[in-house]
Amino acid sequence: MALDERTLGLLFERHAKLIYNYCFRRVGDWATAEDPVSVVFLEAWRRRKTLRDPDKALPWLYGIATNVVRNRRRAQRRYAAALGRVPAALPEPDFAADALARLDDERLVNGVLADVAALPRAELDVFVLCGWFDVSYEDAAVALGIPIGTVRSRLSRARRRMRELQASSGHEESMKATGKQAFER
Amino acid sequence: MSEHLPALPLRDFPQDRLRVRKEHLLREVARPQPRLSPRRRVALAVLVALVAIGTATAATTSWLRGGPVPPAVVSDFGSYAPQLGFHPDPGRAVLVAQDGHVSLYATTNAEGSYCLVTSAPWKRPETLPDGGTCIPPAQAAAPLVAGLVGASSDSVVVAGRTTSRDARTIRFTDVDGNPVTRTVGSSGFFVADVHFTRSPCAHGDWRPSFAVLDPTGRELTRTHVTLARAAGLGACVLPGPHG
Repeated sequence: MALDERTLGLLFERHAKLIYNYCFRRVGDWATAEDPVSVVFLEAWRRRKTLRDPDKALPWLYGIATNVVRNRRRAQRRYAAALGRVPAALPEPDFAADALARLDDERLVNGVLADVAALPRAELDVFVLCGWFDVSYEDAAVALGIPIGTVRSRLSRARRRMRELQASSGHEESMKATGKQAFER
Repeated sequence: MSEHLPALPLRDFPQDRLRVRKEHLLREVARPQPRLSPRRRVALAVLVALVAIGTATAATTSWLRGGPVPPAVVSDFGSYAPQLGFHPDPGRAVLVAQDGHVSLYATTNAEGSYCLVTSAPWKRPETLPDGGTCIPPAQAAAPLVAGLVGASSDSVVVAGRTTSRDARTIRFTDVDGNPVTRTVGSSGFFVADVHFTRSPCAHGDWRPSFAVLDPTGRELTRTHVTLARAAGLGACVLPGPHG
């Protein structure tokens, strides 16, 4: 697939929201998640020749986003000049309800990030993509450049490790007690 | 599996920021890219600097080639007194010429010329280190430098260097006027162990003519050098190669 500027614009329109939310769940701060989104698409442009299957553009972007948030400082240093040219945000009306909801998100995500911090990096990537972001095993394999079997085994190990951590700390109960919406896959 | 992760709704970019970011992205990708990334530019600059330093280093030392030297020679060069105005590089010492049991070692110095250490049966670097002798840069640039670098009761060691690239042999005359011919060693250096039965000043100043010859015997350059100076009252001064 020849990724030209127009196609990049289309990809951005189609996937920027998902990448923005993915970056948020990796960094725990809505404001901080904005720059990585720009970096992900700038990096996608730089690596455009590596996009082999247009149908897998989203997992390909997840893969880039995973690397960008993992090496956030280095990635942003590469594009420091470009990020410096992002127009400043205009003053916005204070939508108090939305602002509060975003603050709640940040509290939740930071709590989870603290919980999963003990996971090895490779397992954490699979855990967030599949366990928290509903990415299929196949797409996670494309995103992380690993076989599906490895995705399954890493996810399995991550889940087991999380259960052990929760059991040893009693955290599972406390999370339930806070009324957080839980889901089981 | 009980995986208690909070289900979060997907949220949009703050108002208008999506459009701003998209416009920014398209502006950035449309910008003419520098031919070299900053990292590659730095790497290239480092590479160029290393090549320049390497070339400069090679240019200052590559002219001096020769054989390995014993540790005592390195130590001998190391004992040179810097108060005399030179700073030899002991680690770069090489064997540059031999004549029988006499060896001539040379090394570069910080002043841009070279220093010499002689090893002769009566003066070995391991038993009688003297720090050697250094040639001033102006003198070292001459087509031919020669002088005495050692003397015993019945012989003198004549050493020097020619800058003539095609030099193959050096020819001069001893105290009695007999021809002495020696092969030029590495980097244009030569050494001759010259025996005598009479004082070097027996006929007054010993000021032979040194001829530098190419492989065909053609004379490349010729210079008169005073090897011994009659100082009167029977005294005989033996100036070194540094004049």
